Amino acid sequence: MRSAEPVTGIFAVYAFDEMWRVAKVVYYGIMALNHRGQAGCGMCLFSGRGLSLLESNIGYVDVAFNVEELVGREGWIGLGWVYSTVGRVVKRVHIGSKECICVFYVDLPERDLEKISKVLPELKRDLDEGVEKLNVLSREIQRPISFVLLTEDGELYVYRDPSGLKPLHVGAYGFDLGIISTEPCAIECIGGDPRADMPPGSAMCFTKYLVERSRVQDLHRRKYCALEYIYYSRLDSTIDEIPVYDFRRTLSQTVSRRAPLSVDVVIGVPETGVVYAVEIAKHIGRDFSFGFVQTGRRIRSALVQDYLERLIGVQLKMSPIRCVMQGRSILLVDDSLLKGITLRNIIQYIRNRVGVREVHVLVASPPIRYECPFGMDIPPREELLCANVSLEDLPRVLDADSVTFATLDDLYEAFEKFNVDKDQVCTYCMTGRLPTW
Amino acid sequence: MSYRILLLGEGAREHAIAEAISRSVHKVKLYALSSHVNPGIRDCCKRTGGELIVGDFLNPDKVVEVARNIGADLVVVGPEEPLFRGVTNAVEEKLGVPCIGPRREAAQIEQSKAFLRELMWKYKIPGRLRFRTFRDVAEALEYIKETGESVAIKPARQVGGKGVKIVADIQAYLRDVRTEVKIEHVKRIYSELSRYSDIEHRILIEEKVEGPEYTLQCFTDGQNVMPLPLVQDYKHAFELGIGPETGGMGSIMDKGWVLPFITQEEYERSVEIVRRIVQAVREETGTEYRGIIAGQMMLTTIWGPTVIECYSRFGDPEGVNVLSVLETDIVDIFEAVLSKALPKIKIERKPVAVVVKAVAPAGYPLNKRLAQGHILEIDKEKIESKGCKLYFGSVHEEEGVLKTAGSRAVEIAGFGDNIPEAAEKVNSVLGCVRLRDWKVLYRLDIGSEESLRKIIMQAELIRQVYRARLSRELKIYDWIPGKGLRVIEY
Repeated sequence: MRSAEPVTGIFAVYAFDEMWRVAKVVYYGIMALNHRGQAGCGMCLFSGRGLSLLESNIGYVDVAFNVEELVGREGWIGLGWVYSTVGRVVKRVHIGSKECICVFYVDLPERDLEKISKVLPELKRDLDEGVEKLNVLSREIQRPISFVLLTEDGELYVYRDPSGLKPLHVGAYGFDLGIISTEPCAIECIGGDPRADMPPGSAMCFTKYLVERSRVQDLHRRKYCALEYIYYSRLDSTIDEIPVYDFRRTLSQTVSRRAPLSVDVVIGVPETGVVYAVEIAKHIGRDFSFGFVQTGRRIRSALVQDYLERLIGVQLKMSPIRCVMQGRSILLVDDSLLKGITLRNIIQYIRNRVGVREVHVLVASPPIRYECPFGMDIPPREELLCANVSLEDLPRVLDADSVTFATLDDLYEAFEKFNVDKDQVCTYCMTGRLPTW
Repeated sequence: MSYRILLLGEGAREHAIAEAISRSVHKVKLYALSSHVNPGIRDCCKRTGGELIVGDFLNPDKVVEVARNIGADLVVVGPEEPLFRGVTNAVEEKLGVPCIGPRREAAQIEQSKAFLRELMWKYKIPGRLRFRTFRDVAEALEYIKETGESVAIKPARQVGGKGVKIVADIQAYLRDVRTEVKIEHVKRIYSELSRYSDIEHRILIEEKVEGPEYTLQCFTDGQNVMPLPLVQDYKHAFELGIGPETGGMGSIMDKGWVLPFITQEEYERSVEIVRRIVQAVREETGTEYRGIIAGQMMLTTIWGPTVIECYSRFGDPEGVNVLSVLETDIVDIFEAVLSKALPKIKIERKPVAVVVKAVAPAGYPLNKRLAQGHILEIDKEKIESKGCKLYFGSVHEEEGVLKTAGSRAVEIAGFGDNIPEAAEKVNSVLGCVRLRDWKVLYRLDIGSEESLRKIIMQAELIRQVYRARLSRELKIYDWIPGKGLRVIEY
C-alpha cells in the first residue's frame, strides 16, 4: 500500500441492475460535494471487466470531466471523490489476490495502512469481526480511518470509524441504486433519498446479492468536528442528525451577544459568512445587507493553495456594492478566520475605495491556530493568522476597528442545543487539545 | 358442520391460513395441494386428519381431480396464479364446490394492471393514477423518449409481484441516464411477458407517486366488504430500504385497526375504495367477487389514499400478520363469504401489535437458482420460547432435511404491546434461522422506532399537501413555456 493524500468528499453508487451506467450519476454526486475540495477529483467504475479509473487534477468537477463523454461509459458501480490537497489520493490495496481502489479521509503513514490492509480479508469474510478489529485499530492509530473501497470483482466496502469525525451517509434510489455519500446533499442531487447516517464504528458491504450492515457499532466514542458544522458542510445537508443550517443559525444566536452595537449594517463575507450575517443582524436589530457581487465562477478562496490564485479569487468575488456601505459603520461577519487574506483584502478595499466610517469584524468560530491532524483542510500553522499574530494586533493587521471571535463556550452552547456534549466536540484546530479516543 | 377443505399453495401465507383453519371449532379435515412439501402446512393437515398432496396446483384439471378424490366441500386458494388460470371457475363448474378466491374474470383486478386502472377510471373510483398501456414495444419506447417523467414502469400482467421499476426523473441533467434505464426495462418486460398469452397489454407506464404504503386486506362476498386491520409491507431486499424489490421482507400491524401513520378517516376512505372496486367488478364482469381482496395503497399528495395495486388474495407476508392473531373462526368467515352473510360476522383479533419478518437465502430475489437447495437449520424451540411463531415459506422437506426452494424460506411473527416491541421480539430470534455454508438475508430495521418515526413524518408531510389539494380541486396545471397550459384532471 502506498501512502497518498486524503480525500475530502466521497460519493459511491451501487446499481443492483447491471443495465445502469452510473458514471454521470457519480459526476453529479461529486459535483454536489465540490465545496469540500477543489484540488482534484476522480472516479472509479466497475463494469464486470474490472475497474476503470478516471482521475483529474482539475478541481472543478464540471471542468475536469466531459460529461458527454461520461454518459457512454460502462459501469454499474461507481466510486467518486474530491480532494483539497495536490497529490495522488487513490490507494491500491489487495484483498487476497483481488486489487481494490480505496479512499481515506486522512493521510495515513505506510505502517498504519498496512495494518488496515491486513484486516480487509477479515472484513470480507465476516463483516462484524472485521469491524471489531478496525474499531480497535482506530483507537490504536487515533485517527479517523473511515474508508470506502471498491474491489476489482465489484464489491463495495464502507467503514466509518468510531470517532464519527468524518460524515458518511447512506441513501437509495428506488429499487435500483444504493448510495454512499459524505453529505446527504449529494444523494438528493442525483434524485435519491437519504436514508441514514452510518453509525460510527460500523461497516456496510454491497455485493451482487447482499447488502450487509455490521451489527457491530461503537457509539460511545463519537465526536463532532466543529469546523464541519461551522463552515465545511453544505447548508442543505444534515450531518449526523444535525441540520447544518440550523446549527449555524443557533451559533449565530450565541455569537450575536458579542457583536458591537455601534454598527449600522451587517454584511456577510461571501459566501459562507452570509448565513451568519443574516441571523446576527436579526438578533442585534440591525439591517442585513448584501455587500459584494462576484465576478466569474464560484470560488472558495480559503481552499485555494497558491497565493496569487487565492488573491485573484478573493478579488473577483468581492466587488463591493457601494451604496450600502458608504459612510456607514459596518459589521463584517465571516464564518472563520484562517490566513486572513480574504478579510484583509476586503477591508482595505472598502476602506480605501468605498469609504466607510467603521469596519468591525465578527467571526463565528473561535480563533483557529492549529492544523487539523484528521484531514480537515486547514493551512499550515505558519500561515494561520491567529497562530502568528496576537489578538491585540489583529485589528491592525486586518485594518479593522475591532475583531471579535466566538468563544469556545458559544460553540459548545450551540452544540448542546443539539444534544451534543462539549466533550464530544473536537476543537483541536482551536485549542490544540486532542480528543480522547 | 364438518368440512373437507382443500388449500392450494405452499408458502408462509398458506401455512398461516392452514393454521387458522386448523384452529377452527368446526370439524375440519384439511388437505393441501402444493408443489413441494412445506412441513408447516403438512403438520396442520395431519393434525386435522388430512394430508398434504404434492402436485401442480396451477393446473385446474389437477385441482379438480384432487378436490374430487378427497371429496372437498370447499377449496381455499392461497396464491394468485391459480385464480388467473381459472381454478375457481373449473372447481365451481365441474364439481359444484365453492371456492374462497375469485373467478378468473374477477381476479383480473390483479392479473391485469390495465384492467384495474381502466375500471377505476371508468367508475370514477377515488385513488386512481394516470397511466398508459402499451401492446407494442416501439410505441412504449417512443412515449418514454418523448416524455421524460418520473414513472413507474410495470409489466401489465402480475408476474409474482415483481418487474416494477420506479424511475424518479426530476433532474433534467440525469434524464439521458434514466431514459436509457427505462428503455432497457421496457424491452425486458416485453420479452419476459411474451410467454403469457392471457393479456392484451404488456407494458404499463404510470405516474410515479411517493408516500407511505399500506395494505388493506378484506374479505368480500361480492356485496359486502369486511375490512381487516391495516398492515404495512416492506419491499426492499435490504435494510434502510435499499435494494431490489422482493415479495416483501417483513410487515407490521398495530394492535388497533389502523397504523401509527394512517388516520381513521384515511382508513375509512381506503375501505370505501375497495368496496367500490368490488362493486365495479360486479357491474363490469357480471361476477360476484368471493374471497379476499387487498388494496395495496399509498398515501399520496394527489389523493391521500391511492391504489397502487390490488391483490386477489392475502398479501404475503401481510396475511400472516392478520391470520396469526385472528380470533374469529376463519371457517365461520368462509361460510359467511359463501352465503353472502358477511355483515353478521364480527372480526375479533388479539389486541397486540404483530411484526412479521422473512428470512431468505442470499441470492433472493435476483438469482433464485443461487438461493435454492441450501440446508436449513432452525432453532424452533428458541423462537417459540420468545413467544414468536414460525411459518415455513419457500422450503422443501426431503427425508427429514429442510432445503431452501429459492424464495423467502421462513417468516417469523412476533407480538408485543406496540410495533417496536413486537419487532424487537422477532429480531431476537432471526438468528435462529441459519443455512449451512450460505448467507441469509433479513431486515432488523423493519418496525423499529426510528423507522416508524420517519414514516410518520413523511405521512404528515403528504397529508398537508393532499388535504390542501382536495379542498381546492383535483386538477394539476402543467405549464410548459411555448406549449401552453395543460390541465390534468383526475
